[in-house]
Amino acid sequence: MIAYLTTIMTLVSIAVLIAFALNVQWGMCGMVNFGLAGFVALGAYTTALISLNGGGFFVSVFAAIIVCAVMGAIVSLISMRLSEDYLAVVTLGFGEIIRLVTLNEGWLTGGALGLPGIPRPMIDVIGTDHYEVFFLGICVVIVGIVFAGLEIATRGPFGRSLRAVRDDDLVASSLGKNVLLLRVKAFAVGGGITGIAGSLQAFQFSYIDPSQFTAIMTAYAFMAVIAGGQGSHRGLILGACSVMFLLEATRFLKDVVDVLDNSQIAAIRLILIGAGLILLLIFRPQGLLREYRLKAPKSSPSSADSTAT
Amino acid sequence: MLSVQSLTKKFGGVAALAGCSLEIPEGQITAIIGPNGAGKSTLLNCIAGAVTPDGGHVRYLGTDVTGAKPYILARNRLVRTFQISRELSSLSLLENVLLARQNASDESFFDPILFPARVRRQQDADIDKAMKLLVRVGLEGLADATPNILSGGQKKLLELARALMLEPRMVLLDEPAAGVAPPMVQVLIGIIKELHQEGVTFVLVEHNMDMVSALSDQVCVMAEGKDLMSGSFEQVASDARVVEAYLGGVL
Ligand SMILES: Nc1ncnc2c1ncn2[C@@H]1O[C@H](COP(=O)(O)OP(=O)(O)OP(=O)(O)O)[C@@H](O)[C@H]1O
Ligand SMILES: [Mg+2]
Repeated sequence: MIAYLTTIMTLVSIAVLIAFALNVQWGMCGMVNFGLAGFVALGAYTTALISLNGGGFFVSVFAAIIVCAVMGAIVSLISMRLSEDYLAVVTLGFGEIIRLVTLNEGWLTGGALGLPGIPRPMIDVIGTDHYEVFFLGICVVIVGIVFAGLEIATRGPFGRSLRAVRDDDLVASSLGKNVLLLRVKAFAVGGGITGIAGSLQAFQFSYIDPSQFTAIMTAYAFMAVIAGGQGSHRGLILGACSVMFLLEATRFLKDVVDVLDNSQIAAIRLILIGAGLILLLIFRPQGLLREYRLKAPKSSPSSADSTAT
Repeated sequence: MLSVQSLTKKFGGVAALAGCSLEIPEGQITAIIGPNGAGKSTLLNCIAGAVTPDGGHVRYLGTDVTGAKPYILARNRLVRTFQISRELSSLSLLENVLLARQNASDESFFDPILFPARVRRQQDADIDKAMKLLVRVGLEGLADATPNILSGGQKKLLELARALMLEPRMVLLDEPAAGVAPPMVQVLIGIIKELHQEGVTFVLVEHNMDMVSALSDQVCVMAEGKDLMSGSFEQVASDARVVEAYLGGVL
């Protein structure tokens, strides 16, 4: 049971990271990304290739961040050059290209067989007995760091500017914000975070293949952000946990109702998650938590009154 | 300070601007009046970069800014308001105003992480300034609210506060008094006069003739996408062409 919980929590950590990325890009800046799974795959393969060739943990994670951030910037720039409305198509296409490359460029990616034997960080020091718990620790610390970084960076002017671009880009531009740059940055920041998620995925399984990076990964991220409340990093942690809880709790459905076979159960689990999300959207359309909004200082009306000209 | 030379802009078959030329002298309040559909808003849009003109030139502070992105002009302290108010709907009133501050770190992801103290100090100073502007337009009590609860007139006032946050040298106002109650129009006129004395240049598109006569140093009349004439309010109001094109004998 401990092993099961450990694995689930590690997977939730990775899902939360992917949702963070989507939250910066879509939640805060209003740019959809249907190619998230492709970005995660890019990060995972970058990490895998580097660590299989002797690169250490930090080097390979850092490389994944850079590669995915640059790719994020490029993808957003391409779609912006076409027209802003093409982002959905471009990101979808990007995800598909990554899938095809990982599947067909066997010399690099191992094709459908994938890349096995990715060395897990510090496994010779920790030993295999408690390794899963140790790795979960790494994931939780990384999620914590990313969360703290995002909160600090997006509660201030940067986050406000992104939200302004999301609400009305002409107004943001008329008030002196470089909208194109902000959009590219949002995509690069999100890209970097998916790179981290990909790295962790590669180290978690120590084996990656194209089938790990499917559209459902992207869908979970959207569910987490929608359930959590667009723009709220805290909310999406709750959202991701709720989605994962529903997903895992319904796994035990077959112990309760034994008339259904496995494939029926699998379908019913997805239906239940969909239903849960719809109920949430009916009763709490804004999501579980609201995005951070700056509060006016308490004392200011009276003191500002006296100093106002 | 700003000069517009034979601007043209077509929307489909409609010529919104058909060779409009205009000189806006520094430090003055220039009112632009004209019938509905004369192209006044389109002119402001072309100057501020929201719409790219088909032909003609816009020069601001001696440089050609034709077709420049709005943020370039805003960073050179030219700001505009919208005829139909455009609020940032999920930002609080305070955040709406705060956003207009001009600071390069606004677009930096890493600054708040690397230099938290400096960013915080700057933000606190800006919050102070934004709150004072909200007091000035009488919206300080709603600082934490989102703009969707505002009335049409209050939205206009918020737009003005937001524009002022930018510390503008030139402000283009598109019907700032539309929907604003008479006492608040007086406040508005007061604010504009004050800023005018501080040296801010204004372009005022307005149908409210009380406001135009109270404020304008120069009035420019537009009709059918062209500048018809310009002069003092009295000159313009008594000109036969203007009466024919626009006033229809009302004055
Ligand atoms: N985005 C647009 N698409 C199509 N036509 C437009 C657009 N903007 C303006 N027009 C047309 O251009 C002409 C000028 O419009 P504009 O808004 O500049 O007039 P205006 O002088 O501001 O009028 P009002 O006093 O009613 O605000 C109108 O005929 C209008 O229908
Ligand atoms: Mg107009």
